[in-house]
Amino acid sequence: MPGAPFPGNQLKEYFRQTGEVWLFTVRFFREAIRRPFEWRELLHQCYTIGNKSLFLVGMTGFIMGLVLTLQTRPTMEEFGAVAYMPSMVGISIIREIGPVITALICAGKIGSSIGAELGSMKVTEQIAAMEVSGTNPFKFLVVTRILAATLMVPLLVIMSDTISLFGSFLVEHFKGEVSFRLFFNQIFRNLTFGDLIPATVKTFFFGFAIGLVGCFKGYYSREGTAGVGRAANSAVVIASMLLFVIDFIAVLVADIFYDL
Amino acid sequence: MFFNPYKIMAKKTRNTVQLGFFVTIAIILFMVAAYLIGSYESMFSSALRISSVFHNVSGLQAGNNVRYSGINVGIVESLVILDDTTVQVNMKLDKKLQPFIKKDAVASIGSDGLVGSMLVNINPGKGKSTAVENGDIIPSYSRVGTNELLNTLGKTNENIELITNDLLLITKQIIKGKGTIALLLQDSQLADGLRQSVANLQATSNYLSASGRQLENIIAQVDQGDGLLSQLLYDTTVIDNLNTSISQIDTVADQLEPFLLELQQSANDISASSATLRATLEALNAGEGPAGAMLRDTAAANNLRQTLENLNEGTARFSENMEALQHNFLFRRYFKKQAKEKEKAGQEP
Repeated sequence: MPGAPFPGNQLKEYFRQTGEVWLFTVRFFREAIRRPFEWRELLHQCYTIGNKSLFLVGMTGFIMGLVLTLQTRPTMEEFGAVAYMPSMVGISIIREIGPVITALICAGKIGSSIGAELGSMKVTEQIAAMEVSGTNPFKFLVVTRILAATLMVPLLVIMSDTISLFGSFLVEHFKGEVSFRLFFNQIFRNLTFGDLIPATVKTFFFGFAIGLVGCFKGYYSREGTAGVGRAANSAVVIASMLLFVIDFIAVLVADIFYDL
Repeated sequence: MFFNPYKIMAKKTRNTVQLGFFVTIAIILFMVAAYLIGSYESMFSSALRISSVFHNVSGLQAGNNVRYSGINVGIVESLVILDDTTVQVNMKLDKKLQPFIKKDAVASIGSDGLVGSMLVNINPGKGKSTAVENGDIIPSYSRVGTNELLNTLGKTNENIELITNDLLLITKQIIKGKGTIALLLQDSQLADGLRQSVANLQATSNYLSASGRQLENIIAQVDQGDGLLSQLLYDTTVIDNLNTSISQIDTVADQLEPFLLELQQSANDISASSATLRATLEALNAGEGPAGAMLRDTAAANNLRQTLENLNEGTARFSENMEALQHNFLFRRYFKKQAKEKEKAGQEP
C-alpha cells in the first residue's frame, strides 16, 4: 500500500483489510439470501466461470495426470510396485492434486478476471452509475460472481479429476498394458468416501475464496487503471495463498471426521 | 459485452444450455464415482455380517478388503478389542456369497503383497459344514506376521554367520592338511582304498540285485501257488487245519498239566531224597558215624568179618544144641505139642 511506509502502518493496513473482507463476507451472505435474486446474471456468470474455464482446466488436468504417471512410474517400477500405480495416482489426484491444482488455475483465470472486471467497472464509475440507476451493484455483480465461483469450481474439479485420471490411464495403457477396466477397478477399490467427500467439500470453499477475493479486490480497487492491474494481481496472489490455507484446514478437519 | 444489447437473448439461451450440459456431466461423473466407491464398500447391496476373533491383527484397519479364496468379497467393518489378548474383526460381505461360505471357513490376516495393505483372507474349511449365517463367528488362524518372520530371519542370519565362521576354520584346516578330510583329499593311497571299497560296494550291490531277482522269482512262485509258503499265505484250509491242531494241542496240554504237576512233585521229592542221600553218603565217605567207620576202617571190617564168622560158627553150634535139646526127654513133649498145633492151623483156613 502506498500510504504505508512503516511496518506499523502496514500492520494497520493489514488489519483494516481483514476487517473489510469480513464485512464484505457478511454483506455477501446478507445480500445472497435477500430477494430479488439475480438468476439470469448468476447463470451467465456460471457459464463464464464454468464453461469458459473448462478447456483450460481440462487441458491442465489431462497433462497433470499424464505427467504424474510418467514421472512416478519409473520409481514404482524400481520397487516392483507398478501394480499400485492406478490406486496411487487415483488417490493422489482425487484427494489432493486435482482439487488444489484446478483451484489454483481457477484462481488465476477466474480470480484475475473478476478482479479486473470489477476493478475497471469501479474506476470507470459504472458501479456508481448502477447505484444511481436503482440496481443493487453488490447483488448484481458480487453475489452472483461469488455464488457462481462457489458452485462451478467443484464441478470443474470433478471434470479435471476425470480427465487427469484418463490421462493417467493412457500412460498406464501404453506403457504397462493395463486395461481400462482394471485401471478403474483398481482406482475405485482403493478409494473410499473418506477420500471423495472431504476432497469435494473443500472445493466449495476454494470456489468461495476465489470469488470472494476477486470481488473484494475489484470492488475496492482505487487509483485508476493502475489500480485495476493491482486488483487483478493481488486477487490471484491472495486467492492462491488462501487456497493452501483452506486446504490445510480441510485436511485437519477431514482428519477428525475420517480415520485417514 | 455484458451490456451489449444485440442478440443478447439468443446467445444467453445457448450459453445456458451449454452450462446445463456441463453441470449435468459433472454431477453425473460425481454420482458415478460415489456409486463405484460405494459398491466397493458393499454399501448398496445387502450385506452379510460375520466376525472372527484374533490375537493380533497386524495393523488391519476398518475398510480393508476381505477375500474369500482370493476374491474380494467385502470389507472390514470394525475392529473391537474384546479383552487384553483378543480382537474381534467384524466383516461386511456380499450377501450373495452366503451359500459358499461355510461355518468352518477359516479367517486369517494377510497382506496384499509384501508391502501392500493388510486384509482378511477367508479360506474354505475342510469338512462339510452348513452355510454361514448373519452374525456368525468363524474360526481364525494366526499366521506368522512379517515382524516375527523378520525376527526369525535375523536369528537365522546370526546362526548362518556362526556356521560360516566355523566352516571357514574347517576349510583352513583342510587346506593346511589337518584332519581326516584333508587326508581324504590329499592321500592317494586312501583314495585307492576308497576306490576299491566302492568297487566292492558295487559288486555287493550287483550280488544283492541278483538276490533280489531270485527273491522276486520266489515271490512269483508263491504268487502262483507253489510250495508251502504259498499255501500258508493263500490256502485258507491250511489255516483251519492249523487252528484245529493248535486247539487239540491245547487240550492235550491241559490234560497233561496234572501229570506234570505230580511229576514235578516227585522230582522235588527225589531231589530232596537225593540231597539227603548225598549228605549221608558224604558223611559215610568222610568216615563219620559207625557205618562210616565200618566202611572206612579196615581193622574194624576185619573184626566184623571175624565176628560174623564166629557168629556163624556159634549159630551152627546153637542149632546142634537145639536139635539135641528137642531129643532131650525133658522138652520132647513140648516140641511134639507145638508140631501138632502147627498142623492144625495149616488145615483150618
